[in-house]
Amino acid sequence: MRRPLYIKALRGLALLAIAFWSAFPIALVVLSSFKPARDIFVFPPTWAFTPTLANYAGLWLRWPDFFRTLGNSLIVTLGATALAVIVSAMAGYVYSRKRNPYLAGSAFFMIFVRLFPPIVVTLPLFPLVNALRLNDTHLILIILYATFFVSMGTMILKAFVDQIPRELDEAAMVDGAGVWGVFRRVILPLSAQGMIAVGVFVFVYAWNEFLFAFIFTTSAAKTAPLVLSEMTGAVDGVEWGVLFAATTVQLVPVLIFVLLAQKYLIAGLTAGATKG
Amino acid sequence: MRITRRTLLAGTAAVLAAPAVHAQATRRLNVFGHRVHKTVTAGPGGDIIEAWAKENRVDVEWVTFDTGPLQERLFREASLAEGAVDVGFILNTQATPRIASLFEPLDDFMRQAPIEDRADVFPGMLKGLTVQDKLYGLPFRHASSGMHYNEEFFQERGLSGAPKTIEDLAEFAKRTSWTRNNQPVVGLVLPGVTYPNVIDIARAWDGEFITPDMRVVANEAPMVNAITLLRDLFVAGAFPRNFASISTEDVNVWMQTGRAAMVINSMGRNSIYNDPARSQFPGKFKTTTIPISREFASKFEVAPAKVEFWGMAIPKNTKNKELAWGLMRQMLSKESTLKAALNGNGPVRNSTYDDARIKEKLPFAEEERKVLRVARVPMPAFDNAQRAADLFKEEAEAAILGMKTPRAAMDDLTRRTQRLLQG
Repeated sequence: MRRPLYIKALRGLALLAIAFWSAFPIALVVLSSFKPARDIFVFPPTWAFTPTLANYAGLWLRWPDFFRTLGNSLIVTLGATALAVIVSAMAGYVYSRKRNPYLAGSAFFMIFVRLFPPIVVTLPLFPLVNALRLNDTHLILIILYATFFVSMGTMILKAFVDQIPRELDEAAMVDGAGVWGVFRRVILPLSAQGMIAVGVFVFVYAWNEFLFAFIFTTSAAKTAPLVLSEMTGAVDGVEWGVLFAATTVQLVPVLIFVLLAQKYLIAGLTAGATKG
Repeated sequence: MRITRRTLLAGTAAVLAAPAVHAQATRRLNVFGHRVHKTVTAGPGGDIIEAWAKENRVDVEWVTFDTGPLQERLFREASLAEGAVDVGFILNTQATPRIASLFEPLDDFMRQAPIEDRADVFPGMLKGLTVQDKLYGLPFRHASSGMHYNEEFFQERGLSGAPKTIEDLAEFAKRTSWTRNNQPVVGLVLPGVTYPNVIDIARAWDGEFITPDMRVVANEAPMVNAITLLRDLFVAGAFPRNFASISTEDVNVWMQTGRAAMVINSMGRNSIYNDPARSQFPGKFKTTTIPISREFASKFEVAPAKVEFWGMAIPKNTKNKELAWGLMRQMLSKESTLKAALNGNGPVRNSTYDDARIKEKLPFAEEERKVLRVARVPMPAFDNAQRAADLFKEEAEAAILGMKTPRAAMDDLTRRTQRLLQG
């Protein structure tokens, strides 16, 4: 049955409104980063202006450590994403193919732990991390970020692996593959979409995360969100143009990654939705 | 060259020993502070650390945070058995017995290697970092309150010069609340009605919220007068309708974009209001002292406004106490204080204001010195200070919005705060 025209129009308008609602703040930040600082908050706002790179130059000159911390963000994000995806894939495979009460209990425990707000876990960890000399290292952030996403990643990948026919495992085993061989040659290639979906979640989370980075880093592993936080707390007045420039730079890698991976994201999220 | 077993062994030993030799040659000193503390240590006025660091073979490593996170992180590090902080910056409001217990008393250091000309450091700041008769910090940076006004707006509204009394200030605020080029202008703006902001107005009557001997006096005339003044301005449209949600940064933007004519704020903000890169009215902002009330005009030249400051402290758990003290002494020397002031710091020494370069750089230098002679901290530091601040905000907002009379709100505040202090 064809829908009436006005329904289509309403749906289009609703989509437009949602897109505007989501994109407007981002567009405002990006546009403002190219405005002269004195015109950013001028009333009434100006939409036509001569773009300038002065804010980016200011960022480079006055906050050089922002770019160094972006490097740290990248190391930590890639490390956490890789670790979370690998561990989740292996765990998802096991939860999908094996059944026993211990596994069921561990799955429940994994989700139960995830229900705690991060701050509850973080503060008691501080003296421990300090004693282990892991403070201010990339490794501690990689472990923490990955740990917080393994539970969700495991469940997403379990749903993916559930969709892969067991007959493929059995055929591989008949051909001489062991459990590891089945996982590497059959399961991994067929659950790539789910792994990318999990990767996107971890990547976005790790790239923007503040709390763990604030508590467990000082200088060597300091990440970019900490510098952004400092920019907003400047006691001699926030340089809004520079802050918007930094925000735009911070936004670019994650935006590119999500755009590249978005088709897998939908597939990953809907995996197992029609199972049963 | 022929490589023998002996040269190979000697070379290997030299390579292995190199890091140890380097470690001996340069020691590392970790300083936890706000970025502004780092930026004022070097700049057009000169570097205040470089020569000392070279002489003592020290690498000074700055770790910077925003104010709240800095205090939180510093205190957490200081509470460990062994910490990573050698010098930490603390706000005067944090100098409570509980926090002080994490830091080293400095009196012994002061006796063994005193700072240069202690009498030159504003005594109120040293006192503010003294807890139970022990000195826990050396002041480094201050922010004292003043009044900034947009001279162009004053001229447009037929006003000349700054208001002489707090009563005049209220009148000026009403006169400068109008619509200019289709943009509404409000006469006076404050970053909310938290106690450090309102106390600046109450000081026009020499008022307090809590006295240094911990008496709650919010319902005495000065604070009631201050709240009444703000309520009157609110009713007259000379104080923002959304005052309760205005932040410090909003205030700066309002001033820079011409949405407000006057603000009571740290005097150092003059530079950002007049900054051509950020302000629509560069060069038009004048900074002066907060005017005194008519009633107290004979007692004070200017209102004893608030001063807040940062101090440097040594965590008890650091192994580098002597070195940390050395750095702090260096940063508080007369020369360093002057250099840092030229780099944009609020100087904590009286003599700094005598320097011609400071007078040239800070058009309000003399006004600031006048304030510093009489300025006081907004409230004594104590463990429940944040809770008291919350109560103040709640009651002040209720009064200004007209939900209670100023008198009733301040009576309630006094009662509630007394209970807090007793508990």
